Amino acid sequence: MASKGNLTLKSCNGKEFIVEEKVAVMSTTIKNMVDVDDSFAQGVIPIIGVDGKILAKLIEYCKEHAEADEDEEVKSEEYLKKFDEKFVDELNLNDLYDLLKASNYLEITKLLNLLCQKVASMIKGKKPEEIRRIFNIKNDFTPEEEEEINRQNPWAF
Amino acid sequence: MSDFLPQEIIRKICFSLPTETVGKCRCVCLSWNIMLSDPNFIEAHSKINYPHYLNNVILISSANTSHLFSITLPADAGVLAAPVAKTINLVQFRQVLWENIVGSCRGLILMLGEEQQRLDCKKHDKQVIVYEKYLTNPTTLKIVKVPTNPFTLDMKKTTVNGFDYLNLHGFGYDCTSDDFKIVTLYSISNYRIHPSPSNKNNWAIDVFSLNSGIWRRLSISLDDDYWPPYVTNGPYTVVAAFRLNQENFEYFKAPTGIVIDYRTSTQLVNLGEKLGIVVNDFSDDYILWTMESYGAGKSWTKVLVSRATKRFASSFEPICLLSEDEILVSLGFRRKKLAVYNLKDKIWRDVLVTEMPHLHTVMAFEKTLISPNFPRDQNLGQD
Repeated sequence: MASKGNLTLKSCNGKEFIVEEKVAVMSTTIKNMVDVDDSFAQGVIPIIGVDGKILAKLIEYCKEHAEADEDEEVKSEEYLKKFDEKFVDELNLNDLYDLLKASNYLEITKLLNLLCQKVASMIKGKKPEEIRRIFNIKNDFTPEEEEEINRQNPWAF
Repeated sequence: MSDFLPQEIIRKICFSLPTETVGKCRCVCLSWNIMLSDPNFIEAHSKINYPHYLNNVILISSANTSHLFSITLPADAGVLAAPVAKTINLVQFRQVLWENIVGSCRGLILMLGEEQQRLDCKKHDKQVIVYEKYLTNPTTLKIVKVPTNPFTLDMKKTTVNGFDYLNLHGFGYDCTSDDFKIVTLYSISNYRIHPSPSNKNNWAIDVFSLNSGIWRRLSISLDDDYWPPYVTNGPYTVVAAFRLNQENFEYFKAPTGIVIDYRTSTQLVNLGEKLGIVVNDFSDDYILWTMESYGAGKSWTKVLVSRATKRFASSFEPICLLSEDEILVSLGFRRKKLAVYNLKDKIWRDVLVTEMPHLHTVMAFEKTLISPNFPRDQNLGQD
């Protein structure tokens, strides 16, 4: 049981994390749960579909940013920028995608934007076949469709 | 490998992509193509990537040629590699000779031109040469011809030395009605030949809406005492601005001391978020004023005074702001060139372009995916 001002988050594989409320409510989804139903604030909040490893990452990010939001003097903008850069650079592709999905589901807007920027920078200027590889996507155009699509978008190449 | 990312996340990622990469992403798979060709996506992508400063220009290489080029200047002044002038190949209208570029808004460019054959015809018949209007997106290479303004058809009977005397054109976006509008303003007498405030003109104002695809003649007119685009009204010179949403005119005080007469040339310039006026009295100085806060007559600021040295020969045309401190200008007469003036350090630098074509008209634009087609799909949802 979390003490007052703290919340307990439980990952889908059963790992529990006790975090300060101000850190947890960086997630709009969690904020709404706590606001609507007081029992969440007392008990355990299940984070569906997010495993312990990813949840730990999310909490790491939210901690830094919640503290910075509270007191700008403690953590400068420059410090946060460096933290963000290091945070996304250390992620492997799988974790990046899992974090993207989790931050989308939990509505952690700042983190979602950061991760989207990261993926955008990975595919910027890449050819369609390279982008397919990055996202593990199959080319499902028929030859006729492919011809038409290449006729429509020659300006992009 | 992770499961596929949901479509909503892919969409969000693509908002951060440069326009050309979005074009490449359309070629990835069927569902991406549908998502990234959707007008709602295109609209939101353009709004999210709205640039405060422009660094792309489109240019006509000389009057009455069909050669169009685009140049992307490096956003960072420190980049040494010279940009390349790229030919813009508008397949559908290869035969058009381009005369002028008259408007630029949200990635669309309004150009005047005429097919060679028809131009020869008109010249032969001593008709008034009213150039046709074309709208193009120079990024996606889409182009459409704007229907001929039906209100100008009778003008063929009243030739004035073969001049195109539909002399004022405007193009802009009205966010109130989510519509692009082309505005033309012309008089029965040609003010370029007999410019005089006392010479009363009958001004007609026609608006073409891209949403409807139809020309309308407005019932309003300019106050007869006013003589656009600059009007002398007592001790003040006034700038007449057409409000796209209300479709009427408002008048701003011009910078103090600007007098419009036969000794002075004045030119209004669109510098992105700022309106500018270039004043030259044919003797020495080119003065550029910018309106720091749009609509506020008191906010005119003199930003650049330059002696008309050999460097300028006889033309000085601001094109756009490249950054807070840098302004791109075209200079010269027979052989115009591009140069950048740093407003803070007050120094000039030349813009080097690989295979720089002859330079007739230049206009800055932003890179968007917005289509010039009309009538426009107005069933856009909210994004």
